[in-house]
Amino acid sequence: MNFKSVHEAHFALKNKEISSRELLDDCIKNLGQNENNAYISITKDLAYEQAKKCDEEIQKNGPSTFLTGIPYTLKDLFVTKGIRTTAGSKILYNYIPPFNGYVAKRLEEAQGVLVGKVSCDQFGMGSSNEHTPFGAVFHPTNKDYVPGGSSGGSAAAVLEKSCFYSIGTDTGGSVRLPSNFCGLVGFKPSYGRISRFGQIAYGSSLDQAAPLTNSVVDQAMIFKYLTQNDEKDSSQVPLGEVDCVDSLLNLKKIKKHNFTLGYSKEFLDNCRDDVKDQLYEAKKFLESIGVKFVEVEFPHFKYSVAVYYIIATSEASSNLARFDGIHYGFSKKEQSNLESVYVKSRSEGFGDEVKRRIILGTFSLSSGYSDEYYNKACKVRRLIQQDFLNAFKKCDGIFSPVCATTAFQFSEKMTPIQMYMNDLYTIPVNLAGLPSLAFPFGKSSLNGMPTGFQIIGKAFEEERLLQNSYWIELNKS
Amino acid sequence: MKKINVDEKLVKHVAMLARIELDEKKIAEFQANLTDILQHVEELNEVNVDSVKPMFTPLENFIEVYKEKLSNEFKQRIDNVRPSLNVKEVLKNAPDQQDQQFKIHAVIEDE
Repeated sequence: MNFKSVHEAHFALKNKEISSRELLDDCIKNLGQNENNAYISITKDLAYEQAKKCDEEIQKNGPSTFLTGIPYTLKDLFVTKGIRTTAGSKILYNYIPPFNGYVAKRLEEAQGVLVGKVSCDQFGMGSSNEHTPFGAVFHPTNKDYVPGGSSGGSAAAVLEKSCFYSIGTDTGGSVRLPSNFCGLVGFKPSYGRISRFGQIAYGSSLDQAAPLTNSVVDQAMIFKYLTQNDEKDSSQVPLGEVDCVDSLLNLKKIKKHNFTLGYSKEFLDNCRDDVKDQLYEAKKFLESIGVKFVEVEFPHFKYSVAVYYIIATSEASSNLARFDGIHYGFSKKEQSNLESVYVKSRSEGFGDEVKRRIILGTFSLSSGYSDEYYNKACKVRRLIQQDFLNAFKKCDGIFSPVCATTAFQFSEKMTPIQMYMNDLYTIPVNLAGLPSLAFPFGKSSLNGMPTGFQIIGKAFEEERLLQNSYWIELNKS
Repeated sequence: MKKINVDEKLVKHVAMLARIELDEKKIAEFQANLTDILQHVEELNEVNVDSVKPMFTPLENFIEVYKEKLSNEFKQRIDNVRPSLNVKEVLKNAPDQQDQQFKIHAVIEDE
């Protein structure tokens, strides 16, 4: 493909150097036979229809939005009217939603071209995109490696260039981790920024839609269309549309842009050597472009994984109670009584990782244990958020690893706890509800896979976070 | 948080509460996983939370900060009547249906 980003593609469309159809042709060519298994459903016919309409409009009036005519994909957790939405699971393998969720609706209104619905770990539960009956997704640069999860299909689709961007979901790192593993930009906005209406729920107090792109400015272009108020999600904080594309592009005209990042030496030093080396390289580079660093402390961070796996699974056990074999999806309806329909449908419809989390969550909420587990976890959660608020008194953002390792190989077997530890650096951000942008930087000297860092911002100050990130991007290239 | 002995009985009990059936092999596997996970979670014992209130959503603090900018609608949505989803469309996904309703097994059985 000639165009690397939404930004470039948009201006090429605007200048009539290329058509939406041609952009789509390239994407379909790169998709090939779905070799990386990124897609669960390919919506090629719809995409060509949408591209045709866009081209007609562009001929007449030019692109009316930043996203007009640009091919994209959605993680299969976003409900799409008339298009199968599986959540990467067997229990929803045949579910065709009768409505569009917020994200699907907004991107349709913005005249995006939907190439397909991409794979994920079932219900967003996993860090490798292996936990789905639709088969593991492969890392496009090396098929022995995982793309990361749970939004692994999104990352693989953007990296293989079968779309310009993909919308994933990030509950404990599910967008930032695969972005980091695939060398992409992954941006999780503040909790409450983007409506979750029509986003199949995993952990309701943690879930947030999050785009994966090739550049920071692309993120700003997408963010504009996902930040309208939506009365269908009462947990959305209705602060209105954020249009910061110009405020980013204006940075091109200035010579100095100063900000301070907090960091914990302990975090950097606890990463694997190849990752650690790149983190210190990145820090050195940031200092060279005028970023100031201060050391900050996070005394409660080490409890994040424990807190997360109690809270997220508790919420999941409640959210996933709706899958009963009665209303929609997979059903073992030929049973002698109602109870058995529930039990058999759920037992066969959910994968092992989902069952493990439902059972842990059910335990944490069960009579006799909920005070000690769920309530205790919610108290420590407050302390974790407080650590961030204290740190922000000294800095504008936090410089942190995304993961202690790079993408790993399929053959590296892990226990559930080892797997959960992949999310050590991403989880605290969701617990505190903050925005964070995963930025690709360098490659591992060990296996050549991408490395990077994340910058965590203050709640609802995404514009500032995107500006700081764009400043880094501008100076890097 | 006291040390919990995750035995077969507990795994079966919790699975039953979640309406999930496990075979013997899975019970053993989940028993081992849960033991591991709960052991890890025990580290929360080190944290003194005596004077800390539980936080159920990260928004609590932020809403306070953004109070001025938020409309009243955020506090309570206006209760407007509007069209709901088409029943026929919704029922297209139902495993079993009759007379425009979801069909299930009898809940109260004849004696």
